[in-house]
Amino acid sequence: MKRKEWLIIILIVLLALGAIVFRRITAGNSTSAASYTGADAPGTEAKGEWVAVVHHGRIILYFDSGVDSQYTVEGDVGQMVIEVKDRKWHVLDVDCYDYTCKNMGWMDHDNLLPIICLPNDLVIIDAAAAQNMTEEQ
Amino acid sequence: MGIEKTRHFVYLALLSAMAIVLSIVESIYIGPVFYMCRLGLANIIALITVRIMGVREMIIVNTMRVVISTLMRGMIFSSTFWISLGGVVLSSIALILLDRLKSSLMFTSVICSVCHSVGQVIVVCLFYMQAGVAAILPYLLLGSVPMGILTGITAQLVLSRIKPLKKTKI
Repeated sequence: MKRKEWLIIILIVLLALGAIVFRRITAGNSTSAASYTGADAPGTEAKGEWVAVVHHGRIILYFDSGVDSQYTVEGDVGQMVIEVKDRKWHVLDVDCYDYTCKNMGWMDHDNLLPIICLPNDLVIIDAAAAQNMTEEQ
Repeated sequence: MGIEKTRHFVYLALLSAMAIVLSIVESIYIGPVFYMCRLGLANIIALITVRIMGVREMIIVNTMRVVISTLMRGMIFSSTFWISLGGVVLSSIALILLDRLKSSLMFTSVICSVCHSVGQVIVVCLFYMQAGVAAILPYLLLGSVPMGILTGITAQLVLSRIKPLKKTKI
């Protein structure tokens, strides 16, 4: 590979890393500023962090990552079972043909990565980011 | 001319079949390696096709791969199909441009892998009509670079073992 080509690849990697760092910093600020006391948001202090499930651009469920539990939500194709354990969450089971969301594994508040199930049109995302997403619409 | 034409079609059919099989095997048995990042084994065939046959044949192989592999998995015209198509269209455009610019195979592979991820995210954003889903793009880009290098190395190994085909006008 030529030197110029290596430089372009390094630039892509640096841009991606910069975007991840920027998002972590801005997400950290917005989470601390959010109170979650709105009409459709949980009014109590979370033991862990508030996480939301978005369906068709609307928040259908909030769950506390500090409380070990299982939640079932309805998507376009069928049901999705979300398991929360040790401040982490993952898709335990889903009625769809793709299973990408299930294969994404465990998520926690540090990696800030949304779990997306396209066939069901469901997104499991940090509550502050979910509120921003739904407000944008 | 007759035998050349037959040979051309046979190669095209073989490459399309390999791309379809790799695509299905990857989606069923391998799955995402790093969060949502897949290996992109079928991209190896696209790289080989563009080098030994040409741009037009690569477009045929890529289109056949997306349509037939999603059809065989019962996902034709589903969200998976459109996401796959979005990735393939953008990576094919990148492949054509880089082929014209005579870039190295490894660089072409990495950029195609990156463009594949970007194309997929654009389609996902259009599906959801919200930019928030694009948060996944930096992670995909980070995963795309090693995956692109891997497919580039594999394509290089294959190309060193096969002879380029004489391009024939059909």
